[in-house]
Amino acid sequence: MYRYDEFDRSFVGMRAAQFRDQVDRRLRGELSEDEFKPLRLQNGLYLQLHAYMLRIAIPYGTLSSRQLRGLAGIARDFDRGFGHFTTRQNIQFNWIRLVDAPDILDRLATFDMHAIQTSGNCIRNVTCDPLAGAAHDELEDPRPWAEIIRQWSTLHPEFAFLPRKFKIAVSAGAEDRAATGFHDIGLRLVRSRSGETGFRVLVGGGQGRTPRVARQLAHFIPKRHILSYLEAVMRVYNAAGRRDNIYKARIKILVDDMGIDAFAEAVNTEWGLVRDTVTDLPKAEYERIAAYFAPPDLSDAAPLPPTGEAVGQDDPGFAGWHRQNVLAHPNPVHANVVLSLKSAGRPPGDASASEMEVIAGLADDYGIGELRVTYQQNIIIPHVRRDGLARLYRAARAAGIGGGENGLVSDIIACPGLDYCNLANARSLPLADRIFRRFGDPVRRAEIGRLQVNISGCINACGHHHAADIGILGVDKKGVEHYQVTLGGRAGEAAAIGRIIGPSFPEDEVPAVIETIIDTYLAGRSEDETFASYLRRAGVDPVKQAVYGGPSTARAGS
Amino acid sequence: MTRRMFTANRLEDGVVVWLTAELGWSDRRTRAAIFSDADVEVARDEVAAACQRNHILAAYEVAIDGRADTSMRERIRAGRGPTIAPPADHGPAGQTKNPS
Repeated sequence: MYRYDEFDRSFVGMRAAQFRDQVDRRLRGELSEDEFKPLRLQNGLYLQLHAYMLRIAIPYGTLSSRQLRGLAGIARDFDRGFGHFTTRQNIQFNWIRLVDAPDILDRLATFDMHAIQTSGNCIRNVTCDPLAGAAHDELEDPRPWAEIIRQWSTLHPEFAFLPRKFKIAVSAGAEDRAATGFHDIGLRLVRSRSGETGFRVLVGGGQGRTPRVARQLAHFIPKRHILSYLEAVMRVYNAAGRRDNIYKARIKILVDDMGIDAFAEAVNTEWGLVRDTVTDLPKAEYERIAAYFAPPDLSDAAPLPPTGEAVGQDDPGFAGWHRQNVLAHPNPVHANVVLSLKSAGRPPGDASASEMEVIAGLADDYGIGELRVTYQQNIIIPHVRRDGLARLYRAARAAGIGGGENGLVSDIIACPGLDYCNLANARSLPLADRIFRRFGDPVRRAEIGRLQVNISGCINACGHHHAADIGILGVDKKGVEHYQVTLGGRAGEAAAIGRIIGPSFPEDEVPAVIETIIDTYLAGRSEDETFASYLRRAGVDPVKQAVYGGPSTARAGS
Repeated sequence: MTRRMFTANRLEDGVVVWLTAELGWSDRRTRAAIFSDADVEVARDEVAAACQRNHILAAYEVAIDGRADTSMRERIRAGRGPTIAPPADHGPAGQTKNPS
């Protein structure tokens, strides 16, 4: 893992001290809210429905057990004893007092964390494959590049006031686990015909009110040139992106307006000016950063005891968990384990301070003290010895984080919705809970198979509803929460945007609607056909028919 | 005649507050005063003054003749928390600093 050096430490400490002074001046009345708001947002401090919310960056979703314990301490000492892991691999605290915020930033700095650029029209936290460095199908660990991009983009003076926020995702696996197709820039590490590794660059993806799947901007950019290439993209966007309309300010709109070919040409022209100048990283500096991500030494593991992972195989809970939540690792003796932050009564992605401490302990005991946050709002312990899986499962289950629904219908992604968020039109969390409980039977879940249900409380789509097999969007219909249903969205490979199936439903009807959709799929699928494949083959009409009845009985309006 | 309440967030901790009949600010929705057209200007003066003296921010009026005061958003704010409980901390400290 990357560790702060003296420069990082003094820089983050200085920022925290500056913010303490700014908060003091705000409380004394020397700064108005209009003056203070951009300063607090630059430090991730939002005003939400009930209180201030602090969003803390978890760089590319990687954190140490020590850092997770530190976050648990903040939850307990400054909040209400819990935190919320977000769909961008960050963590949010919901009950922050402004007067405490400077102390929290100081505390974060003691374990190499901060909240810089978790808000505002800048390059946000770079997200990454949560299995990076532990994936069976990756060319190489993409995290050195994620870290390099993080350092390059942090307080980059030219990109502090972009037309709008900017999100970059990096993935090096054969499977895209970072949803690169739904980012302003998606970087896929690939190998050229000559055997060189570099980046396939995607641009203009995103969700929100104008969802777009990213398009290919460059099929291969050598790694050594990626910073200058990114700089060229940012310059074109910074100069030509719209600033007159917040809803048309993202790079996806610029790419739409210019067309991908003209946009690529503008980038190449700009790239010609900046490549091979100071921007591209010297090899020695790359190697210095890459050294932080050297593969862990897993060789000292004692031989597997004879019981191995067969321990507990007769426990149906363990078998289901093992099938869904234990992921392949390049070393057959090891695995990556998904700890579920989805359970009955739990808002998706929420974890209490004590649960964070349990998770940190499990990472120390069974892994290498390292954790990954997923955009699906779960936590992964990488590098777990397989002979420890049964014990790890029992400990996770005892702590309430041993659910085996990874990738199944109850592994719901949800934004905080109207329960917390100032922008939301409708609640996400109670509906997520109702759907979770409706599909609580593990046998039924397994029968349904892989199926992603995502819920957003407004069109900003933080709950990724566009990218779900079944997406649910909260809308305000004459003052009453209603929910639109979309079908056929997909993140990862062959990314797609879901389509609305018809008029919206009041909350009470939604679980039954989801059930009807799934029943229609189960009745109509051919053997082993996933929900996505079924939809592609059969189309949405059978499902629409089942949900709304015949054309004559379809409800009018939405 | 329009009847309305005034609500905001308290600057130092962001907590939701309502303007009371005594022109103070309470974190209890039940203490919120309903202002008629006759006394609304006095209320608006206090809202402006409270912003000015850095006691509150993000103030707005809620019309209570319409459906706004019973909107889910206002009900959730009045409830002073989410409609679904977060996971409980069973940690060694036991007590949290900002208990609900």
